[in-house]
Amino acid sequence: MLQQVLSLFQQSGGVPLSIETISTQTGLSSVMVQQMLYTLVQKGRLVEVDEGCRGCEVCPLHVVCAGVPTTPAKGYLLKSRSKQDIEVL
Amino acid sequence: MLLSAPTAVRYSANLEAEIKSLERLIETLPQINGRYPSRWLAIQLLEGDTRLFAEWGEAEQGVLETAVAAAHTRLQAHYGDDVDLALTDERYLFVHELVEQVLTAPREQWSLSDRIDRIVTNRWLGIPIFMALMYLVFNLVQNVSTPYLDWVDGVISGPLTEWTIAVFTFLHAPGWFISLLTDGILAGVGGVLVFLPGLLVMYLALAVLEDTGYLARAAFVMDQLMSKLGLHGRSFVPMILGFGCNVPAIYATRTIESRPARILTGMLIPFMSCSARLPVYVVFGLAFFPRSGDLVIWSLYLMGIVIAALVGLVLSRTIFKHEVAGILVMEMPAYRWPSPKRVLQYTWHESASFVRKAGSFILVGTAVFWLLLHLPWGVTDVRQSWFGRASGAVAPILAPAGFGEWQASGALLTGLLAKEMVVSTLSQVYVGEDGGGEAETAVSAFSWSQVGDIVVGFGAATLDAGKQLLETLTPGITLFPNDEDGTGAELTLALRRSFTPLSAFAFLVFVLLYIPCIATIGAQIQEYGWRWALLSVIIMLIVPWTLAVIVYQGGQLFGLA
Repeated sequence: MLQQVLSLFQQSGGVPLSIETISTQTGLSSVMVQQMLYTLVQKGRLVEVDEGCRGCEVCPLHVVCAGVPTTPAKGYLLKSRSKQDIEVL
Repeated sequence: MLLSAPTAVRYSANLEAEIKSLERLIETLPQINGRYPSRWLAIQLLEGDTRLFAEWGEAEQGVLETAVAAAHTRLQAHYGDDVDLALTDERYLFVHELVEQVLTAPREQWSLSDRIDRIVTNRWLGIPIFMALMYLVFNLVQNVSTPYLDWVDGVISGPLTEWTIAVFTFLHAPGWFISLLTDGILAGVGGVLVFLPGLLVMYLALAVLEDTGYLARAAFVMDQLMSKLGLHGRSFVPMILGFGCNVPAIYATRTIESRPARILTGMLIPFMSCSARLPVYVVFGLAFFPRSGDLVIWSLYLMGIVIAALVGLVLSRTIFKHEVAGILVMEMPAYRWPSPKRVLQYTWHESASFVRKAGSFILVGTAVFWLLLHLPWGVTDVRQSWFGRASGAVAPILAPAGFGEWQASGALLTGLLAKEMVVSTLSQVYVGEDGGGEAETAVSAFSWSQVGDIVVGFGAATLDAGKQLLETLTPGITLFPNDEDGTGAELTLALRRSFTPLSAFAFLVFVLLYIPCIATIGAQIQEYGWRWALLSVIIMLIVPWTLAVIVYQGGQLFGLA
């Protein structure tokens, strides 16, 4: 299951993914996805990014969100590999 | 599954083998054994938790590090670099399977509004449902209002006209004054008021749709279509208002923040068929399409929306290129039963407004129009009157569209003042012509029996309207025999002599799309400036003429004439 989530990040091309996106794509409950993402962050596989404001600038639906009092969704990204790893790859 | 005893997490065979191996090793180390559960410690070490090493001696630490490294090497054949994740993953899988067995998630509760919205705002069903409802409304307007329409028409052209002539003849009023009252005001204002029952039905139906919360959904549903055609998403809300009257709809564009989007919307609103155009549709519908008049009216409303969308598409890709963008955000009110009080208030307000307009603006308009028909003073042939000459000058331009008679072009000219004037003018020029102009003939004195006939006629019309309502709302029931001739009103008969069904439809297309009234142009000048208003006027002359010609000439090509 964690591997399935990690593979989504590998396919996202560096675009941060939110809990809702992963939940939709895997069919797992958002509560479970939230816990899994927490685990992956603790294990150093993912980093949490505050995607809220940056995302709205490019989101075509930002007008909708502007009218809705919601907290911007957090996003997650794969933690960058070290320089050494990249050279090996 | 009911759990009666603690359940341990069991990993896959290769992981379990390494855990057992480490467990056995830990149990051989006296400094560590017994301080922590050996299975837990083995799993922690395999997951890379080395924080406990600091508590142990170097010898034990070295033995365990070597053993864990060897275990990792063996497991990497199965899990690559993610051995630690493999253990966590299997715990998640265990929890997931356990939860699946013991937890039944309650089904998501949908409110009645949500369930209705799933259907009426559905991507594929939304627009057909909106169209079907609009068709039902126009069906009601035509079918239910026809009996009242005939009754009002009979009262105005019969007893009311006769009593007016009798009273003013008795008072020795001059002939021209009696002609002004009967051929001008009664024929003109009466010709408009005769459609009050139809408008009452429409206002009532729209009030019910609005009060139930459906009209907000209609705006949402149509927004999807409009957005696809490159129009501003918020445009459809004022456009919906335009079905009532274009003037307040133009002022309603103030809610759109972007000025280009505001102007574009304001230029498209006149294509929305306002309620003043309905009398024209009804009179032609009854005269030429007695069986499918409702379908004709419905198609005209639909055509207005489609033409607005197409003109909007062209303008947004040319004049307003890169300037119009946006998305519709609106809160959907919950569905509710319509409140009789609110529905009746709305119906009363709109109907009273129509009657006030008929009693003021149209009254003055018909009087002025009567004067234009009789100037220069003493003219006997209306075609030689000022109005007849002006209409005759315009008529050739409209001839390719199939209505090149001076009466039709004259009606369209007066329709520039207000669309209700189209019917009013047609009543005066056609019925006036047929009646021979002067109205001193066929006068009967007041009698109570006539009053009795009016009351009985109203009762009969109410009964007929009830039957029509039942027939409209209950498919399959036929309470009226098919009447090919439809109504026998004087205007209807006169129109049948001057139009064919094809030229009548072309005329209706022109009425739908040409300048709604001077008040609308005034509102456009006030809101967007005279240059944009002028462009709008040009569009509202070219588009209707072109389409009316296409309808008429195309129809002739297909042999519909």
